[in-house]
Amino acid sequence: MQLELQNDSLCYLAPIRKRPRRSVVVPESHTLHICPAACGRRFAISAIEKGTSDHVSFLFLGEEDVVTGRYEQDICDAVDELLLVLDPAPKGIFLHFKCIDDFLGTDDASLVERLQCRHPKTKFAVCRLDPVALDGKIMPGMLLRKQQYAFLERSDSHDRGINLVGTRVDCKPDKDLVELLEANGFGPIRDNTECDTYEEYRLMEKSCLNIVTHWMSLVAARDMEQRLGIPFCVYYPTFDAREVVCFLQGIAQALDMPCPDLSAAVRAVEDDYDATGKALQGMPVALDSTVTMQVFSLARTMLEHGYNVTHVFAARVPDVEAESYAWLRERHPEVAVGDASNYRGLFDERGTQKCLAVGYEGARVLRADHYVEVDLNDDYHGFSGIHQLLAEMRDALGAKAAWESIHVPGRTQGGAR
Amino acid sequence: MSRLSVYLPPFAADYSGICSALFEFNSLVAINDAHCCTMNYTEYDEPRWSSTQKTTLCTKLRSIGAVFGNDEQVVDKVCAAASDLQPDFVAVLGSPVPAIVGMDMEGVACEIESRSNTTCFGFPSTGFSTYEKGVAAAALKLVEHYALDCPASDARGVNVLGLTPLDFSPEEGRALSCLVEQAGWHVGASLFLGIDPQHLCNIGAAAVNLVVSASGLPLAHYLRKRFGTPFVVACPLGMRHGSHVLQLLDQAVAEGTCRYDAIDDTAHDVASADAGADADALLIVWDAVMANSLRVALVLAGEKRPIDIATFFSADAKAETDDNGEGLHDCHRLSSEKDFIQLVLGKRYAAVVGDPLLQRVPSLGGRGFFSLPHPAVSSRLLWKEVALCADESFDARIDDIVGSR
Repeated sequence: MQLELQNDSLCYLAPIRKRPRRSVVVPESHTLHICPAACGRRFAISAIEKGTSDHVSFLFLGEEDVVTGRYEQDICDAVDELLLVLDPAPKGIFLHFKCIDDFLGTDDASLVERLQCRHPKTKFAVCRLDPVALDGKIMPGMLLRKQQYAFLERSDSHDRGINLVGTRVDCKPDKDLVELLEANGFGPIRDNTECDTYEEYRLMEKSCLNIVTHWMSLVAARDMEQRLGIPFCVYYPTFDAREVVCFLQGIAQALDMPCPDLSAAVRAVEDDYDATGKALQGMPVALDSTVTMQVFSLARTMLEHGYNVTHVFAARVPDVEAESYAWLRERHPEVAVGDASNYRGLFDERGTQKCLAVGYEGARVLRADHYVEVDLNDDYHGFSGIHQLLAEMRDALGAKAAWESIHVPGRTQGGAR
Repeated sequence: MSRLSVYLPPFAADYSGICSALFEFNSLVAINDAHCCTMNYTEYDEPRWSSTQKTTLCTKLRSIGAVFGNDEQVVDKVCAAASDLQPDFVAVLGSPVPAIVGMDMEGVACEIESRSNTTCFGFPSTGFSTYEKGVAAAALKLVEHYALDCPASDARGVNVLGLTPLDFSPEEGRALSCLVEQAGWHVGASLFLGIDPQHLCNIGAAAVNLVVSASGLPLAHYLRKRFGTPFVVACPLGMRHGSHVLQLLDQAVAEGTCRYDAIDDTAHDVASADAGADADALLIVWDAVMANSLRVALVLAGEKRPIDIATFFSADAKAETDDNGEGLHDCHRLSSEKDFIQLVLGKRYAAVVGDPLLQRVPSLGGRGFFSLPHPAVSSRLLWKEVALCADESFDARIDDIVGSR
């Protein structure tokens, strides 16, 4: 069960600095957000920004619904009306609930069954985005990712296609992985975020292996293994070359193909770590979870390479990070661990700090002299991902951040309260 | 299905209205939510968030805390932050989850106040209501708490009520001040753009209150009852109409009566009748007070067509008419996207004036459209295009509409 860090204080929400361009994870689908009006606002506005607003609509719940429970009938009526209005009719509809549904207790299975009877040509699935459940055993985002594949059905036969499960929108597959697969005649590589049509998305049913590219999609992969009979391997973002080797060997074994000798690639990564370490000259390094949700593993790898990691910023320790977190606490108790969203960071009156922050959140809190601003987290896969991050760190050393002129929302210009 | 919205986004919520109202104070505002509600406000309803230091924070509410009613956790977090930040006051706001599990936000506020020795306001906001109710609630709480009993000693003082970036440009406070000062008035309390906290204490001293949006109406009625201050319900739109509003202020003070924006529109009525019952009309969809003022401004500029007004927002419907039954009673109340579609389809409107997102509704096809971005509707999409109302540039907008016939 994940551990939330510093959950005993109020938090400040830093603006999201970069946004993905697309958000329709199943082509030709539609999402009906069922929630109080307030909860739908950001989905509507961001959908307009991303050009996907034709794929979302809203059914507003009122306070009376809490008492009467009538909203389940209203959902059925709303779907009837939606299917009359939307042209072309969507192939699948996601019923997207928010936090309050955790307390209303909607009967998902019964609701989907009723809708399926009324509209047999359309697929239905229930999703939840309920951050209030972040204290639960499974993170809400994991269940949300699982539902991206809800419209897939068990196939009688499988081809040599490979599914990437958990890839972020607009993220290119790692070239080491692609080369390994293609060299052995596997493909095409299928990814729902890259599909243009519903039919293309449905071809994922035919693939012979799911490669899980982010641990947040592990629940999805397990569900697909059980429901669709597609086995899975993992290929998470990692900054440890040995782990990349393990991942690639695991994939090779699952597909019954040889794994090439990767020792040269491992040596190249180690050389890169050494070169970057020399460039850092012992400079303190701060890491945050905008770079990777496995930030404790990253800290461990860097500490093992002799880097002077002084801060790790993360809101929580997910299960997959438990071992690295424990290692860090035991071996390096001097490393400060905290949540960058803690409000105290906003009002810290220290000046800029001579350090390299990997990730903007840590940089903002520490007002780091140098920082790597990451576009979207967890884009670092394979050996090339490690090289990419290390190169970005070296590049960042060449530029000094001018915090006096950088607006930090919620904080006065220049940083002092 | 009245609550289905296919084309329009959900509007700014009550808690955003409260936060927006409290923004300029040295306050600590804690929204009791998991984090999405706080994000809704900071990312989508607060154009000033990126330019000023503020402390609107989130309690990180979790299921266990909500289910077991762990108010103590919220109290602890807020008290610790209050101790660190030393705000002038604290506000704790509800959101949908606290609303449905029945968390008593006012009780939580009492506990915080007693433990932190800092004034604390509790707001039972729910996220089920829209922003203008939140602005109104914040205004009433602050004034009830801070306003001193004092005589109406400032003969040329005018308080501005209902002014937030959810209806206006953040620069509107300055523009309004310039307008009224040119006529020998000065702004006392400007709620809530350009607020000086000290002015809250003396809010009863002003000769008149100017209500520029529906969110200011409940406070105007409160001040009328407590201090006897007359009010004018009008939003100055351009210089021509601005002069007209200034005359209303003079009349209200001279007569001691409350005035809703209106003109002797006999000429307009006659012209409309001449044009016939089927004449193409104009429809203005905005905040009720602002829409009513725009109607007046258009008539002042020579508009002859019939003009209907409509709104999705109403802080307090009862407060929208005065003792004589005058007011905003002919404003169509839209409770949903479907209401809007039915209104548009039910009459031959030549043109619609409103937030550009209204154009997403297919029924508007073929009609003229004049854009008036309303931040409570279109959020950050159009923050930079929100018009300055009390500014001469607005006259050109009015002329465009009148000239479009």
